[in-house]
Amino acid sequence: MTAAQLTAPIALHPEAVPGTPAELRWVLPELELPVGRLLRAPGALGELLKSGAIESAWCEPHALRIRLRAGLCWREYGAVVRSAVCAATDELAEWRTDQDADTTLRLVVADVLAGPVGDYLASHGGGLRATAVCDGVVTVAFGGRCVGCTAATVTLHHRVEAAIRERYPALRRVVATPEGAMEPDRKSS
Amino acid sequence: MSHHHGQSGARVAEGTRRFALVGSPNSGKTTLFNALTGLRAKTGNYPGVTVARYEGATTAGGDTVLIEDLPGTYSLDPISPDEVIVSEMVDAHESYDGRRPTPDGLVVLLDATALQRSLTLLTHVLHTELPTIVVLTFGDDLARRAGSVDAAGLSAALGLRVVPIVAGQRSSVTLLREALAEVEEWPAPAVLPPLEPSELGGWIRSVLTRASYRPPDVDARTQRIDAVLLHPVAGTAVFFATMFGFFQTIFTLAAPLQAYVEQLFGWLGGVASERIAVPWVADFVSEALIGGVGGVLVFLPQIALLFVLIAVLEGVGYLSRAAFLMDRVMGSAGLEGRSFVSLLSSVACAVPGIMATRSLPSERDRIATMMAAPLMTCAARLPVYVLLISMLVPADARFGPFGAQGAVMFGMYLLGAVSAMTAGWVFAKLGGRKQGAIPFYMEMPSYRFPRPATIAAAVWEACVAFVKKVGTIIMVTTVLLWALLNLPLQSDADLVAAGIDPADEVAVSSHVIEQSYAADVGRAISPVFEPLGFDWRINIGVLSSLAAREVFVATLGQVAAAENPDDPQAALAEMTVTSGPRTGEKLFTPPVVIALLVFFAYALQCMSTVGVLRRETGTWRWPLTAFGYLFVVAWVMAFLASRVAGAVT
Repeated sequence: MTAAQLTAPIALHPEAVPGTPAELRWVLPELELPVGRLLRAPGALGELLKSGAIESAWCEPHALRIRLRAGLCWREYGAVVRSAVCAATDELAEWRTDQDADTTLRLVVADVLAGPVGDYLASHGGGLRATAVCDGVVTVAFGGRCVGCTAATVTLHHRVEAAIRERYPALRRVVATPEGAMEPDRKSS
Repeated sequence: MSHHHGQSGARVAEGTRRFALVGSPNSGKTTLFNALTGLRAKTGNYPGVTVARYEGATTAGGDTVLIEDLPGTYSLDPISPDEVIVSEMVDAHESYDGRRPTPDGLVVLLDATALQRSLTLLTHVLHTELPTIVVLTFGDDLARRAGSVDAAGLSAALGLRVVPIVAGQRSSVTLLREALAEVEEWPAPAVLPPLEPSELGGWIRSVLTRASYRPPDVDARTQRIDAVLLHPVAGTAVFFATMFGFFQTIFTLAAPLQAYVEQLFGWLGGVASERIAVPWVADFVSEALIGGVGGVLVFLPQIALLFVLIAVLEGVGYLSRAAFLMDRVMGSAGLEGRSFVSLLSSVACAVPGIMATRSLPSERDRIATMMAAPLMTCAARLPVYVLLISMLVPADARFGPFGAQGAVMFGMYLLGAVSAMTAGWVFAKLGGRKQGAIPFYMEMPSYRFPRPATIAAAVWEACVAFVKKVGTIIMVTTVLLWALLNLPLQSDADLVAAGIDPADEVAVSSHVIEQSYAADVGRAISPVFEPLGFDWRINIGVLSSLAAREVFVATLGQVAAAENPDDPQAALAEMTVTSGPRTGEKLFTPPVVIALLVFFAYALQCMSTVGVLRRETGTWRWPLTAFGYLFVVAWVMAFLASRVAGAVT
């Protein structure tokens, strides 16, 4: 963090996770978080984790994905969580995660495909499925009209890959499995 | 800057959905309102313009819905009466004034060129927890100034639906209409944005990053123009030159048009007296309707021209510069720039000017501005000034390259403005110590080419309002006066007894008028106006102008039409004093005309203004104060002016 950011409030806003109302992604565009499941955090955020009010928290490079315990409501707990996250960012060095990068990337890929990029693909009659995520390489399989479409690779790199990289800058590359051949997941699933 | 006559009178069924437009001043609210409702409401290009309440109907998904345009506001922390209205309107728990139901949905306008500030207002609005949708305006302006914003990203970050709207683009408004029909499906953010200032700052930064927001460059064109127009010396010179040039056109451009309208009425008068068999009906038509009411209506071209100027200056974004320039002057008068905005509105009419004081947070400044506003030269004074100046200054008289008539008119406006500032200063002093200064937030919108349709609508609305006023209050007063001027009825025997030949129409009508009830009233108040050189006819004119200033023109028109129906203008100029020491002398001598001009510059002859002062202050104390002090000042100044003029001529 720069000196200016130490005095200025941390940039932070929550975003909905499509299809999962219990989860919110707290976007922290100015920070670099340690990726993976959050195990321990300083201050109030750590307390919320320990008490189980936060059922799970997962760090993306620029966002903290938090799932509240069933029965708790974001409208009510949002402000508490915000202050807790805000305070915890002052001691980023104290955050401990399981450093599971591939699972983090897999979450990001799922989000991207469920979001506007997926809508775009669907609007063209196409489909895309992530078949594997390994060491920062995402393998996808085309479906629907994408199969055999000459623009498919353009879409893959300009839209899909760009959208994933925006949220996960450490992404190495996105590769498509040979046309039509839906390979089973290779390694880590 | 005009009256709001745009209320949609349509009765609406129970359960009709209501939506309120919320946005900061200049966020394009009024334009959107017009596009939705088709009402001819004005587009504001400087703060404080939308103070009256606007409501209109539109259709969404086949249903009629009501749209309310709330006053422009920067926050829902009410510090001025304007903001109180907005915050109460959008309060889900309280209905405004206890009469209006809470809106079913809020449409919040975010100005894409000032997104950061707009988001602060949005945060306040979201805490009302009413269904909310965002309209993103001025995206085209943003692009022109090399900025950009990703509406989809903004929508995701806010958790709200975002509809980008381009002014004048029908399809984007259609999208909004469709959205209004689906208010139940509007998404709401899972967590409300923080209100605590530092957290709010962080939230806004984060949202802007997510929306890939690139703020606009400072508009180069605007910067270059402002270097001149906001310069203390050059800017002021340009301001006065603009005004001076405008008053030239009032006489050079509008006068020929006025002549056409006069010809039309002259022809109508001829037709009326020829074709109407019943003598008193013919008299009524030619004197009251054509001489009186028509005499006011001929000033329509000048009114139209005045509003063209106001609408153009407002449309290009010049008026807020003028307010900025005047802020310094106002400051020395102990008032703030916002007061100037309200005084500027009073150039159209004091009523919206007084309503505009709602944006003033300080009670002391509000009262001082209200007491000053009636002194600004309103549109109603224009016909009176044109008539009087034409009698005072020959049309071909020149000051160097400029017409003398226009120069005198400019002087009258200047007199009004200087007097208003002085009155504001005095009342601010009387109002006691200045309360804690609240920063004056004045936006300098980029210069924009005004949309011709918006200007046409503004001018049209002003003309309709003028014609309406002529058709109502002026017509009624004129008809009443006609009766007073023609009663009691004089039989032929009475006339013969008075030594008048009943066959001599001109002699008869002047005798009837001289013996009328109106003459009695005019003579009864003559001690008051005698020192100013007014005779009973002018007294009646002044008295009747208490209803509305233009009635003065109508009254003189009637009297003149009775004496010489063919050429009332000439009759007016030739009119002589009929009794007292000046008998036989010309009535409208330069000192008398000057006294009248000055009297009209100061006197509060407008019942609408008195009414709005009562409503806005909630007491009779202030309207009575205004009426009283303005009458005294008018009389004294008119007396001094006529003495000075008498000494010079």
